[in-house]
Amino acid sequence: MKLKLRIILFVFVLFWMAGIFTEFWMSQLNEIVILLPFVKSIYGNVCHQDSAKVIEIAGISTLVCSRCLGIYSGALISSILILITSGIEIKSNKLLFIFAAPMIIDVAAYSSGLYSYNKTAAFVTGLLLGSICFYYFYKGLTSLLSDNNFSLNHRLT
Amino acid sequence: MKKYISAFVCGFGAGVLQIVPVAKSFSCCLIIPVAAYLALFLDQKSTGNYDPIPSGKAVIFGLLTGVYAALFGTALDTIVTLVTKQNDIVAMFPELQKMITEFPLSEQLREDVINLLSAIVDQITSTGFSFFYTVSILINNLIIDTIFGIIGGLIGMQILNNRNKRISEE
Repeated sequence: MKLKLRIILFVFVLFWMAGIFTEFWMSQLNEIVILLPFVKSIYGNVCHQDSAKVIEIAGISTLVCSRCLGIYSGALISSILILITSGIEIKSNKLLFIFAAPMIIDVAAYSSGLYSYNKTAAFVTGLLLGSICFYYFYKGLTSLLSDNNFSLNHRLT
Repeated sequence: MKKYISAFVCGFGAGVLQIVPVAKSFSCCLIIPVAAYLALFLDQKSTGNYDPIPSGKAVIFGLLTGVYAALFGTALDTIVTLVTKQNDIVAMFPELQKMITEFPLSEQLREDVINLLSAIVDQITSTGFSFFYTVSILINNLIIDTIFGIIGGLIGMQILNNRNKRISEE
């Protein structure tokens, strides 16, 4: 059950990540270009999409800012780690605070004018928080499934 | 209803923050998950019950926070659009138009896409309201906010349970 859950989570995060790069691949699929504004607005719900903060490659931008891209990339890395290893166990919140601290410091520092917004710093700090948050989410989900005596095997087969 | 008052309060807060540009740029995609965590945290504080949070409860609190955030966010967005006759789709229309023009599409399709979008933009700039736009953002908000709310609820449950476990062990 856990392996199937891990695979589903990995596929889900991969799909979400692919959505972030919609502008990169949508130009290859002519007819669905009509969906672009709606895909953009889906990601607009979870990110301010400030043009000065999004990552741009060859004039094409991602649909979320550097920090959000970092958070989701962290989630993807975490989903891969969870997929290939099963014995990771974190029982205290210390690691969460350690991983969240760089982002809090970065946001506080650039907001107070200590330095200007840095895409790399935003991406890396987001990556750290995203990876640990995804682990917590995974633990919460496994707890939910076991609490409810929910058998994913039965649902999938 | 009283049982879920913290989800209502945090959902309202998240709905407001979602449409305030400056606030939105600070917390971005963390608004809804943090609101769901706060809803659980406030519920623990108000009830004084520090037993491990059942995952079902975390999901319900996350879901409700997301639903309230979506409803308030959409309502506030609609009101602001009605008053200002400006919103995200109006602001990004020139950029979208340029992007669609650059895509290798048939002339007919390109025209249809631009016509559809410009009809929405015209409605918003003239009357401040587009039914199609309002329904689409409501559906968007409901789907995304509830998913992120549930994710936030499950993450919050883990954080609070770890914290309460440590406190009870000390």
